[in-house]
Amino acid sequence: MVWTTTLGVWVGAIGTLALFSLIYRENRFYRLFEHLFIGLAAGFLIKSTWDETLYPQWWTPMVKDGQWPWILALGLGGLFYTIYSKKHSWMSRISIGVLLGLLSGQIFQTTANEFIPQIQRSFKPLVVQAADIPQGSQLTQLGMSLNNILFMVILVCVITYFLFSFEHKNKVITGSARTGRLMLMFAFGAIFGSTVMARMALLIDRVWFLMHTWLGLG
Amino acid sequence: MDKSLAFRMQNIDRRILYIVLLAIVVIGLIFPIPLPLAISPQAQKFFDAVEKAPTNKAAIVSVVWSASTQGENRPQTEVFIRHLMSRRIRILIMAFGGDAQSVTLAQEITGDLAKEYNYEYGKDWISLGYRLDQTGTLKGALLDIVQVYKTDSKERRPLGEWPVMAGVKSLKDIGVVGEISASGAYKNWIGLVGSAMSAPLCYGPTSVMAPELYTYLDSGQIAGMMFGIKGAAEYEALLVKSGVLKKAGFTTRAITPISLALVLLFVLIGLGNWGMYAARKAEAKG
Amino acid sequence: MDWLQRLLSRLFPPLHGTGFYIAIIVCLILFVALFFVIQLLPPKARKMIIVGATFFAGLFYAAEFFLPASPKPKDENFLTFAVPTVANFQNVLTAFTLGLGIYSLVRVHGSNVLKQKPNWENSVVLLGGMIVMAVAGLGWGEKSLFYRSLFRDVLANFDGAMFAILAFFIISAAYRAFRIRSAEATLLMVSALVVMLGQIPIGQFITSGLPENGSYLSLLRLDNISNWLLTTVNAPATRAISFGLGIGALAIGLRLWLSLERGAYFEAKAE
Repeated sequence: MVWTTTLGVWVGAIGTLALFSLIYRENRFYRLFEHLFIGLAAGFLIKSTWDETLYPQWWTPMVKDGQWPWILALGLGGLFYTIYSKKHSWMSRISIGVLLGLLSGQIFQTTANEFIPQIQRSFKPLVVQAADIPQGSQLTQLGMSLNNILFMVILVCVITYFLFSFEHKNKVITGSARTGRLMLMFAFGAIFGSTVMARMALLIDRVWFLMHTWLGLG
Repeated sequence: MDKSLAFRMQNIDRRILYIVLLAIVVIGLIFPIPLPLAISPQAQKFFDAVEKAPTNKAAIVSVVWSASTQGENRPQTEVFIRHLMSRRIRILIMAFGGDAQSVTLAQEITGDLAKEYNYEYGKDWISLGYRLDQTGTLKGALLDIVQVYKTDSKERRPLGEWPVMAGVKSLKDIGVVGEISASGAYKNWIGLVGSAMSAPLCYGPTSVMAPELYTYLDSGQIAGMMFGIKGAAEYEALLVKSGVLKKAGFTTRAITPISLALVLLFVLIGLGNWGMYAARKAEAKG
Repeated sequence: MDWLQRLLSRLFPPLHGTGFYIAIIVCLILFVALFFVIQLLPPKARKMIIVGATFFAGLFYAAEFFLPASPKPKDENFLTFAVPTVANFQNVLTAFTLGLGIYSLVRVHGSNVLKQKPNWENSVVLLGGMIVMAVAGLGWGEKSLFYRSLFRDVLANFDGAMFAILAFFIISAAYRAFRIRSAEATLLMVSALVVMLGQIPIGQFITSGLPENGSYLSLLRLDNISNWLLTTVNAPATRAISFGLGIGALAIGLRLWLSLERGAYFEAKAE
């Protein structure tokens, strides 16, 4: 199935250049294409919300399959719009409450399933036996033991750093929290580096579009 | 020490930086440096999970990205789907996230690859569609995928009628799950359905998110990971090595400008800091 | 086990033809009546409705999780059958919020056009783009080349470009702001440098002379150091952060469910 047209590529390329012009300075050309982008995105949202959610999940079961209780969704969904009436705006909180309730009701399951395995795996063997070394690992028993000890020390230190329930006065606690903060910097360094990498990847994709798809280079 | 030089090193005009960056990206794309890329254990595990997935079971490709992050997520999705197709594994596409572009983009990618691998819509692959709310959908799909999705997203025909759904009632019947994502949606998979599924959950996050996933790799809740575009390039290298691809494509080519841009970043940070210390030293000397 | 399912299907059987239309009309009349009746309630009762709606909505998933289930592989209790329907309901309800955003957009930009405020032409473009995309998508659908090209060539490329601009800004910001003035900043810098060099071929090339495995020297390869930093130093640090976030999320979830949360939305009087 064909997805692109020459005219479309030209509009896409000119728009890309217009949006990139922001890096020089704010200008009318950028503003115009920024508005076009928002308009298209909003139009796409209308299309996709109907096509992907409301039509298959609400309209079809209600009208085609005769499941009339789905009309309840219209009643509850309609309450969102009371927000525009000062007199009735409190009713929008019923619908918002239902959504918040549905989301918060899942928190117990999410917490249990997400964190229990992690807590279990945090208790690593500090003296590793030969049988504990995973197949294919290059680590020796000593190396893996040191890694596990370091893992646990960092975990405890960073948790200590985030313990705000009491004042950090004890020397052990302050030392541990300070180490935790330093270890956090390693994690943030990794995140910083990878953030830069992500942004570069996005730029490269656009440059490749301009070079290859539009101008036919490369 | 020339104080003005140190000062200048701290205050290079931003437009010069932009031009240098743009030049580096263009040069890197035109003249890729033929250096090999070491395969990370995480990408290898993702590849192995797909390689070991049973061919009689379907795979789920969950997409949670829009065109805003296509520079990373598109190649990740492509290599993952290509690998599944090379093994003739049936593919079910689910799309989530704040933007419904995900489903259209995934359909476009899969449709293009389907021609290459002779994959027929409805028989070998299907698009289940986009859902705004991932948590409820996953909880429902753990019990009954057909009841949750009802129809496919492309043809709008009842899901149970398509041959691709044979033997697939719920997420428990899936062979492997891979999510390519620009958001923290992995928590929904892990928290709501991960422990109930027998299929390994693999993840392809953007590079920004990748560091926070190592804890889930350690706990075994995620089986393998593609670290942004670099992970996709590693996966592409594994596809070449295993004979699925004849030669590496754009993803591998993109690694050169990324490398050069990162080198530029560190050079600039180095220059800025050198300028700062030199200026301080000059000031101290009077 | 499936008594609730049977009861509900008896109470609310699918209807077709006239029966369906009557049911819909009756429901709509009931909604309108209910709308005016609850408006008559005093503020305290209104608040009770909001608190009750939030609590009972949350109770479904909580009870489904906590109530004992039948033995594996079925692993279900009497509420489990309703999970797909509730999930769809949640999706549909979320989808109904779309109109709020679209209404705001139309109101702001429509007013710009009607009053011919400065740069009103941009608002025309925005509203025009929105209408064209919605009509192309809903009218002609994904089978039309016009819609596909509008999506792929225009919207997707614009979206990509908007985010790609950040690459320029991040380079400039890192250069200007990243000054190594403390032990923390030094560690952050060293970590970023080693991790990134270990991820890219140029960095990996620096230590490519060292053996890949079978020797202690292999530990000094940048790709191995980078991976070690990510798996042994970064992983426990991010795990500790996620534990904190998890406890916070659980607390907030509980507070929302039980309507204990404070703030403008939660404490506003239901008047």
